[in-house]
Amino acid sequence: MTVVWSQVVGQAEAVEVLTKAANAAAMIVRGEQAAAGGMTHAWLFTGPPGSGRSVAARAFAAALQCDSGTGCGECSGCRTTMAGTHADVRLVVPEGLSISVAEMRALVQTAARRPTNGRWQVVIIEDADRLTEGAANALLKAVEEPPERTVFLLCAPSDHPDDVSVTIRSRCRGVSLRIPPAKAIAEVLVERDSVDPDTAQWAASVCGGHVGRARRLATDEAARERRAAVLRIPLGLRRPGDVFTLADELVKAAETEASEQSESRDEVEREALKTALGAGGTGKGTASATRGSAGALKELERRQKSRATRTQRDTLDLALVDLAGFYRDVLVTNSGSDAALNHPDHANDARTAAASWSPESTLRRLEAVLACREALELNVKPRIAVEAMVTTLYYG
Amino acid sequence: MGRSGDLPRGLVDRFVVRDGVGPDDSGCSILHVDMDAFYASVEIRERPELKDKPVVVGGIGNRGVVSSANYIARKYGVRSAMPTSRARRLCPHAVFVSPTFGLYQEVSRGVLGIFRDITPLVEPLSLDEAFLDVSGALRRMGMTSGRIGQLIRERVEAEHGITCSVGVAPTKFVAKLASGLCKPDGMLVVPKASVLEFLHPLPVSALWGVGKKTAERLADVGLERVADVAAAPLPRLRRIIGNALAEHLHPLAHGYDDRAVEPESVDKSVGAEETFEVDHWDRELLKRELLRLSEKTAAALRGRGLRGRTVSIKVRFADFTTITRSRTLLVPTDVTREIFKVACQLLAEQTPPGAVRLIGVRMEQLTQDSGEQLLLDAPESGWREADQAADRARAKFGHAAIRPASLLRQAPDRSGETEPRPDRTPG
Amino acid sequence: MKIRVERDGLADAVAWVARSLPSRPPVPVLGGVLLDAGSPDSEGEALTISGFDYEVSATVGVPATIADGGRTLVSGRLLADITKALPNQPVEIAVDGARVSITCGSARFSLPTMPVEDYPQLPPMPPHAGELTGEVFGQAVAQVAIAAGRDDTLPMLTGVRVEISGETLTLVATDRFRLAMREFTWKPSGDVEDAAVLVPARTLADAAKSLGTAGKTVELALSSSDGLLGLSGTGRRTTTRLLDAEFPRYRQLLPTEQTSNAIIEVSPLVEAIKRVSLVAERGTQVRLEFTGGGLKLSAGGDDEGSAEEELPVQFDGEPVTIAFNPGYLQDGLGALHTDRAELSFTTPNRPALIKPVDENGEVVAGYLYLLMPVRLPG
Repeated sequence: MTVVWSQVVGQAEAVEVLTKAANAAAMIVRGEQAAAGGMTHAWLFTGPPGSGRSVAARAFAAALQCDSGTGCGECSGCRTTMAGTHADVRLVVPEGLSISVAEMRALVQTAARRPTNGRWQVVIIEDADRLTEGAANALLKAVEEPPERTVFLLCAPSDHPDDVSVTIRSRCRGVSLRIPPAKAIAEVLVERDSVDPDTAQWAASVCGGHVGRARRLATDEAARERRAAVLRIPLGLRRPGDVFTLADELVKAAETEASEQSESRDEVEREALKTALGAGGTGKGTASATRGSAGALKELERRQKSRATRTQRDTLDLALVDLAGFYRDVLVTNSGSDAALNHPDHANDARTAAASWSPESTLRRLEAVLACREALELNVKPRIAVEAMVTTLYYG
Repeated sequence: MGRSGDLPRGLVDRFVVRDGVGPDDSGCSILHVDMDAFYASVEIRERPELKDKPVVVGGIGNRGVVSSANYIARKYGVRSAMPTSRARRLCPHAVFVSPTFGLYQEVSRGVLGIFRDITPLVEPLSLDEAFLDVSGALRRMGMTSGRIGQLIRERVEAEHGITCSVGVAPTKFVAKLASGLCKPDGMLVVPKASVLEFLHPLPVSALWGVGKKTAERLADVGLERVADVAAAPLPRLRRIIGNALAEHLHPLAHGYDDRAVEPESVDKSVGAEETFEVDHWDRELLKRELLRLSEKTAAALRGRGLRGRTVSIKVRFADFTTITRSRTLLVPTDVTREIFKVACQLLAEQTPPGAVRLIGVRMEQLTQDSGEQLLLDAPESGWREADQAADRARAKFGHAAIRPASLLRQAPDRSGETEPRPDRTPG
Repeated sequence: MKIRVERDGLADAVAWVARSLPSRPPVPVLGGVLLDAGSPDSEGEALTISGFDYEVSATVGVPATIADGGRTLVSGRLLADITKALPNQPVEIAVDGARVSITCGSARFSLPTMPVEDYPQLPPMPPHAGELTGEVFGQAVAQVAIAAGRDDTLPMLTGVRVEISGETLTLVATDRFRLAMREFTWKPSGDVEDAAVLVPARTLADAAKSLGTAGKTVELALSSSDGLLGLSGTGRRTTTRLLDAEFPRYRQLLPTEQTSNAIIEVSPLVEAIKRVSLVAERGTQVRLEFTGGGLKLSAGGDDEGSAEEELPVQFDGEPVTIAFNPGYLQDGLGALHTDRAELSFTTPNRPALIKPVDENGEVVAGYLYLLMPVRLPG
């Protein structure tokens, strides 16, 4: 497997389809007759959160722009695609909670042009489920009659496939990603991130199939501690007063995690932009080179801020997924089934809980967690939603 | 109006209109229309399952305040501007909803549109209340002001699914007081000859400008009812509450209020909309309706010497979800055909399918007609000339005289158009 | 990388490339200029300096002595600031780890580098199509680009159409209110085929300005299948992405016969338009009343200021009263580059045609400005 595809963890079937398509695409570029059905102009990547939809889309884009058509990961086409700087790859990441018509119109217009380097004009839309209705309509036209060398790669979570309009879905070839198996995740952690095998295996077994989460748990002590804190909640609720303390902890932990993630990323971006705009030189007169760059930096800050809001929601959601996983483990333990646990390292806790709660009350708790996730999606203030949830977790 | 809601109702009972029967309304040309528990009513309209529950709209957080509460919640003492936390204590089982202002604005625009169908003299005070001067409309529509108030109440309910209360009186002050005293879903007419009879028994707090402090100061010297203020000599009143306030209250207590209804000066948009009796799926029929509404809108633009640059359509579906879609033209226009073309595109390209309850056309970004920059690839179309001829014919023979050919088929059933059909100007 | 270059060539090259960089780069690397020394791509030029914003690429070759070849990416702003202030002595540029050092006489500078491997591939120069003098090209583009639209929602109107038909090169632009067209002969390369492409007006105008120096030759490179137009001259090369939109079928818009025409001095007319349109609100039309006796200009109405002026004119045909947007009219008159102009008309609601007239009173072939009037109210 070439370099770009190795980033797509545990998705052998999808990778096979995409590799074939990339080969066919390379033949088209060379002016050769490609087998029918090999290459398609519109793709929809679906899969559960963390399965790597956008990673897969980017890898495919890199393969399309690759000098050798394989996704070698070494040539300029691959490198600039993965770095997000390729002239013919447009990446749309919704900043707010939706993608507007204006954004989409501008995009459709760029998409209509021929690629500068004679290969493909690629448009990746992350979270196509967040297209507003008008934006979806604007996109539909382009997807229906795509220019000869334009490829649309749409990504959407598989738990909300209906959020992508039927008409658009019907025009796209689907690539469904599955939850990557723990073994594949552990391997990639060992190979790519040089994690020791034991930690890798543990992280892969508790990450719920979310590769990025596994990496974080494997490499960041604080993240491990936060997860442990979340999983202490179910059995830690002893007095009514615990509800507010623990709800507060949960929200704070998510906020801390999110801001740590944002800060390191934001800082790197800010430095890169400052350098591009003329900062960091030494010698007479170099200090004035950055004049007039405040606007560009402000713009970056604005984007980072809105991204931080999303990161915060996403990290809280991950914590809730961990929590839901625990209650599911309790139900599994109750039923005596030998299904794999979400948190094998907390099996004792699950047994304790199974012994003292009725399955009905466990189910009510699980539902409260899911209801909280839904409420957050509907923009209810995190603290309010979490307090309501923890109250049910306490009373059962 | 929270305050008038607390005034004694018994005193004014005989002015309330019941089953269309009320006091003599001649000489009453001012209407004050106030939506009942506006935000709460709109929310209930969106979620009918809340209908029989106490509903409070307001900031949900700790420091939030109540913006609106339905009448069930009010029974528990919940009032506007009260901290949400207090409302929660008063009525813990109420449904608390965060406000969706976009929606209220939308409904408000629609309601103002109904008012403007009746008279251009509309003075909106906020999203949920407005004054209307119907003196011209009385003659034109051949109706009494009470009948117009009734018509407004029917249309607001039919087209927007919420109720309102109307005060009909010879002056703004009395009309506003009247609407507050017949809430919810009521109408109160104060005949010109009975203004003093109506006002005088009321407590002084009914007077516009009398707050708690002023009321106390007046009560200290024995002035408790409006009649007392009216009877007090002006110099005495000045000593009690100061010159400015005294000079303001004295005429009010005598029923005088010469403030005119002042419509917003500049037109921001011109448009027309239609609510159907039956929901319609048929796109061809909707297109025909768009043509009729485009024609109305264009005629209104030409009538005022305006052109619009942005065409927008509004579609309300059977479930009351409402969308607006707009597109901006290269050059401003007042030509039916051009407005219609864009309206159809918006319907075809940007409107999801569904049963439609209301459809509307609106022109925004209005400019004065001062010569039109012609386009190279649009050789003289002749549409403007056709429209102008139609305007002249309409002026002469009335509305039905000239219609685009595709409108000559059966028009869809409409509600909100009661006989005799008023000669509506698009608002 | 370690090289030595002359100060002047370097400063000019960097200034020219840096000019085309975006002020708010969508990704940081686009704020950089690429220095490439002795790589196989640089075609014998020792050092190439390039910038790219996804739309337009700019590359200049500079002679250099190369001790060590290589590629590096530094901030365009910073490099331009440094090079323009250097003393006139040889400049040494060397990459040292993550920084670049610049030494010139006693002046020393150090710049941070940016990740050069993330820098997008520059579009390749399309095949050579033909050449013409910089002067003719610069003037022709300026004459035509004024009529291009600025509304990005109508992309087909924001471009200049470049048509190659054998030895004739035609440039046209329109925003639907006016249309400007220039035709002239050029030297096509032996094997170039007839073609028509749409080039973003703004980038074409910029490129023409910087390459259209008197006495030099401009080369056109075109490959409509790659969607690129290349322009080069005096060591500078630029590529720009073509607009992929349908240009209006404009030939059918050109009037075949006119019923009246006027020959008039350009600058007195321009001055008069400026004066009368001053009194009216911005954007209000100016009325032109042509009769055998002369031209009466007026602007403004009853309720605002109004102004009138009269000018002598050589007029043939039916008297006509016609109104124009004063800005559009001045654009056309200003693009003629002759002292006199011919204005011809059919009716007040049909396009007027404006052409340059030489000292002998003859219409100069090759340029026309077609302007749609303003319909008077009422």
